[in-house]
Amino acid sequence: MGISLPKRKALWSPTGSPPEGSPRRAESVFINCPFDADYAQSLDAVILATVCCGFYPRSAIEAGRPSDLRLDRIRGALFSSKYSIHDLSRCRGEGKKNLARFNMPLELGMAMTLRYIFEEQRDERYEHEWVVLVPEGHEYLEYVSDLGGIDPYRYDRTLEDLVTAVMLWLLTLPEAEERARPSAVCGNLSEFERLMSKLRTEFRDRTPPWKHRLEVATAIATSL
Amino acid sequence: MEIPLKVFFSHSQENREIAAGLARALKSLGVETEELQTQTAEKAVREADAILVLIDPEKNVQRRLRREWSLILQALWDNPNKKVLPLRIDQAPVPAFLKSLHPISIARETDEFGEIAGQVVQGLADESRRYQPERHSLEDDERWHRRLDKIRLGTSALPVGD
Repeated sequence: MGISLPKRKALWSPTGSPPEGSPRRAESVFINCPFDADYAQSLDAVILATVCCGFYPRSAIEAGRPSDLRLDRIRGALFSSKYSIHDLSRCRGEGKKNLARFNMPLELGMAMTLRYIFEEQRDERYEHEWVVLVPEGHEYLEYVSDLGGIDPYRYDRTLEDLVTAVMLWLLTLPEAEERARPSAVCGNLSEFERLMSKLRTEFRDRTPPWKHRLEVATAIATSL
Repeated sequence: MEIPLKVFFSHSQENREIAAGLARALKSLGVETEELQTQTAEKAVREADAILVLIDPEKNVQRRLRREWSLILQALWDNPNKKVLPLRIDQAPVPAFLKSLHPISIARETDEFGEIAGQVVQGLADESRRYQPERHSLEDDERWHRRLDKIRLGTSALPVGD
């Protein structure tokens, strides 16, 4: 028996309709990565690699009113993206209680469901492809053994290798724009980080809003 | 005309008949092909002199196949002189990194494998089919800046605070 979904005119979005002429769903990539300070540079590298392949990075933290449920924000950004990137590097015991954060596997599960719905219904509104990133040596199968056989894209914990892993996947997609090899994108990482560091100072060491991160990434990508 | 020695064929299970037909036609022209096997794909891609990539219009691209394409892209980054020839079935959307390599078109119902094999042999010997991602035409530049403008427009609608 097939999956029954409510009929909608358009997928739900927390920001309403995007401005006319802005990226289509097929040019949008949902980024599911840690948002903590330790991963900040890696997240910036993922954003830059995504923009440098011509895609519009989307995230649960991009928009929405503070009163919106976080899950609704995730749904809005994820369902508005044809593609998603999931870095599972943070799923390990942390802090005094040695608890692992499981937001990322949860969001991966949502993306997988979207794809299953598409496979079942062949409804283009649900067309979705996802990729999993893990650092070398990360024992993700110890806690999500169901992911056995999916062959995630691995990186050696350097920003350069992370950019390469992201581009290795994105450039196999038909909607990508190929402007440069990873080496050229990585050559811009220090300038990108300098600008991001300036932004962090402006925002008093808080994470700069998604909007500003994308603006900086787009400015860097212009030179490619 | 110099024909590469080791030619590997990347294709989905659904297209094995087309791949087999083309492989037979290529053999009659003196070109031996081998299929990429998942377990050994990395080694095979690295060692291949040339790779034929059969691209299907099917939207639900198998994960295994996309992984194989990533391996081929990595091989091109490592060695831009490696010959990679995309073969596009009907109006299949072509992976971005293969677009500049001038895909050869194939009709799904074709039985003209001899003719296609001839194009493949020519394509493998054609030095202008070289992987050069940094080389852009004016049209490429315009498309790139239009794409960035779209990203900027999407960004403009976002709030300044999270």
